[in-house]
Amino acid sequence: MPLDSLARNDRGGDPQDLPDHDLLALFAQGDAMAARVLTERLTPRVMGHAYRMLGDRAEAEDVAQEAMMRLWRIAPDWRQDEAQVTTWLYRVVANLATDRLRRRKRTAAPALDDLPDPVDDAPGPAETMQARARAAALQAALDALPDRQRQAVVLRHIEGLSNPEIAAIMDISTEAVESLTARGKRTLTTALAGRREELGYDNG
Amino acid sequence: MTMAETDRNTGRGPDDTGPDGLEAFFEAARQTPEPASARLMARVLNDALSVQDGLLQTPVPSRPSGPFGRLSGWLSGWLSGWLSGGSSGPFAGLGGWPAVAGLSAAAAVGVWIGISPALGVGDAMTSAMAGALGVDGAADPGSDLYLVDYATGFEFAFNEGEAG
Repeated sequence: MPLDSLARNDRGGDPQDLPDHDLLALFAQGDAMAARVLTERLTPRVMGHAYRMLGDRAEAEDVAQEAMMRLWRIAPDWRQDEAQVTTWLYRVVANLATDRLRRRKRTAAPALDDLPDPVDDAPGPAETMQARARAAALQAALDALPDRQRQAVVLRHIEGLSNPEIAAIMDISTEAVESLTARGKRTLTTALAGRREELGYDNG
Repeated sequence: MTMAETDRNTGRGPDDTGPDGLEAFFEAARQTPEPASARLMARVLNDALSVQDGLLQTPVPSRPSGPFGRLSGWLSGWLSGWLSGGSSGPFAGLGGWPAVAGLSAAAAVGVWIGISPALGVGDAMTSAMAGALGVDGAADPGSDLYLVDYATGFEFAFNEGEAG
């Protein structure tokens, strides 16, 4: 019960333990700690999903900020029986990303600038470097997918959501989700077939 | 077994598993999420606190959820919109909102009269009730009408105090 958890929080409970919608209610009442916890909890997920959808870090940051801004604004009107906060956010990110992709297609062909930036300077262990190389190859293949296929594949296989959850986010049936992910994965398999050797898959 | 059948059952195709399959690419993506930079986190938190300040500075009565809450919210917005509409509002025919303010004052006076009847109202009520009961209350003060206490507390104290 939200009231129970709010009361528990008033007695000094850790806000980190509260579910998203309770924190959102606290946020609307002016609780700055709730703003901080929600920011730390949700922004990385929003950013991760926006990046997988767009393949561009700067654009993904803008989309992530805008999606979170919409969350802050809707907080006073958030109804506890509505969808989960994360489900709502995935939907907002997808809509914002799709708008940007449409605009991008209208204005220019993908430029070299859109390639993923170097992640950071610190060279991690060899395994991490290899994982990054694989993730970058996957991202390039994802970028070539139709938007809806990319969204379904990312939600299913990277974010780890269930088909019914994805169906709710995308406003389609679970059968349609299965169809989109199956098509997307077939294309990805073909696109990545030629990259396996260079990514160290055939060495052992 | 076709790939589509496998997808339906497990969400994974036959070539997803193992080091050569797509699953290895997905796993790599999960291991290396695009991080939210400190700059982005700061921007988002800054937005959050700004919105929160705005919420606190313009205290909107917390809107109760449910259809009635939404209805009352809509009604109050509609009314305030109309009232602030001035001469172009629906009360233009009544002389605009200053006239409506006068009407409100008159209505308030009416309410006051309703809850504290003037002294004469009690007598009028006696006559009216006596007429309804078919008795002459004024001529027959000993009738059952004495059971009806129509006097306000103020009227009772006023009369009794003066008598005593």
